[in-house]
Amino acid sequence: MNFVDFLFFFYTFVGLYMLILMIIVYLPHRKEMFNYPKGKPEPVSIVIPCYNEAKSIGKAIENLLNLNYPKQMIEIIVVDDKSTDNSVEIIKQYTKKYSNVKLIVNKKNSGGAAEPTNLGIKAAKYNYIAVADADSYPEKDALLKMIGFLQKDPRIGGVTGAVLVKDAQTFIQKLQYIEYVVISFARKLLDFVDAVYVTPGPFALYRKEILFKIGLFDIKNLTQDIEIVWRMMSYGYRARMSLDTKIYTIAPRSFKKWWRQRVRWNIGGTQTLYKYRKWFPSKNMLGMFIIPFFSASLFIGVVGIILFAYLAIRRALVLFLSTKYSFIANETVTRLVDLSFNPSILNFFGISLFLLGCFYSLFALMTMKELHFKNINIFNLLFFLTLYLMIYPLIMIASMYKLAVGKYSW
Amino acid sequence: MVNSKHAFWQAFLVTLFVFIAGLVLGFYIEVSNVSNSDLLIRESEVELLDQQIKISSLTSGINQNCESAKQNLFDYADQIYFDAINFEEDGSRSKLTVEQMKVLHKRYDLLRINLWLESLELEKKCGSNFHTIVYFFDYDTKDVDVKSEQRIFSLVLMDLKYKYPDEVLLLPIASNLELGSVDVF
Repeated sequence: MNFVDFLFFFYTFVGLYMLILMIIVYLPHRKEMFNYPKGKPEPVSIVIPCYNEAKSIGKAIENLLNLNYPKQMIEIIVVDDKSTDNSVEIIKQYTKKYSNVKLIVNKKNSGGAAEPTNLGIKAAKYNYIAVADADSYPEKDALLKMIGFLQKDPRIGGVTGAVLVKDAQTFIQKLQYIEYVVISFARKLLDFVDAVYVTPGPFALYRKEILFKIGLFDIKNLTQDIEIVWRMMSYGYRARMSLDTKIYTIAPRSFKKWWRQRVRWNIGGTQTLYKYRKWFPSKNMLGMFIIPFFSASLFIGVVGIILFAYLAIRRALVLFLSTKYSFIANETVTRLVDLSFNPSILNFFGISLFLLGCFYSLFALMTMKELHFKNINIFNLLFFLTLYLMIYPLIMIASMYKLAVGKYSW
Repeated sequence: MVNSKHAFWQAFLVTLFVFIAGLVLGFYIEVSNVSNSDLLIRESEVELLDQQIKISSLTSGINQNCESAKQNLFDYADQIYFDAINFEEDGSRSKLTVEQMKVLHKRYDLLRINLWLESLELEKKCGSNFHTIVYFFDYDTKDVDVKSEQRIFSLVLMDLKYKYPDEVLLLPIASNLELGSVDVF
């Protein structure tokens, strides 16, 4: 067995392990996927960090004001990070109209979401803190379905929901629609083994006391929503996932914006990995599973793409030289006998893994009842499972470059 | 609600089981392929030895018919050629291991050396009414330049063989398989 074969077997093993893990977790919990502990309404402060969100901030505030939750128990704190558009004017209209909507304007632009979020948390008067993006729209019953997790168990520091794409119109948004559904399904499965490693920015509910105890959001990290959960875990707390809580968010409309967002996620993820590297290996879920799982999801594709590039370049070089010599020798470039249609055992492994991946994604989509054919057709699904996922390692390489040269920002 | 910590090692054991089951199955299939391949190799060997003895008898004077000696020589070369192609295909289907392929190549190279010597013998006895092209190449080379060059040479020579099937005796021999007799030539 050569190195390439070994690597292939390793990938197969890891892929198969993750799939079997998901099946083992899913089967006993299949009827509990959408369950959530019933809680009673308690006051919640909702913090919205905002930077140049004039287009969406009004709708976001209105959506939060219309949540199915006692109005007197909701406080909305919008923290403007020195927007250069008319976000502040729009927010002021709401602060005049609603006494429970407050505005804080940061002294200078911080360049991220963590600092304005921390400002909002410090100003919050209630014990439960929800953090929302300015372009996210949780469903009306979101808080009701989330608060029970915090009330039932004092070791729970944060709760997240199923983040889904709102109004997917462009092709890249439709691909993200599939991706978000599959991620939500997987995250719920991880919830059953206490391995929720992120409370995504669009909407998450926290216990204020724990946020203060662990030191609020890390302003240096580009994915403060991942880092905060890892810090919670390092303090012995954990996060939970409410799959029945749907949170709709505006996904990047263009490839360029999507690429930028993913680079930020990868850089933030790598920063977080580096910060918590000493936790590996440990008996804590962070060290035992999350760090290796997260590392694999970030870096395994990079090794794969390097190997793929090496093999592809080598083949292209042979093809180029053969063509060159073919012309010199006045010989045909290729013949039927040169084409090999005999699949090897590694091809079968690859095809099996691909089919299992398709099955898993379809199963997730069916479980989540998100088979809207406007967004999900066979072409989009196949594109997602092949080319879309193959771009991940390229983003990681670009992220590593930016991280190495220090050229990164929110 | 959260009670699935055992899932991690359970998943590991199941994956290990699936992998080991796959390896055992693969091993079983390989063993069955190897025994099939062994039978094929042995059958082919018997046929080749038969041809070899026939040619030796032709060129050593038992039978003086030059034309049929030449025909047998060419048939023998063709059989070696097509047998080798079949084994190459088996190799690409993973029916044969890399080591098996290497041994087979050595065997065929030796047979071709033998064929070469027989052709020289025949030329002495019957005069030259055919051309022998001996083509030395690097087996399984990693050098892309050499690989591409060899690919074209093999196509050119194959064309020549197809164009003049009864006049060209084509003998491609790997020069880097550490065979003493090949090194001598």
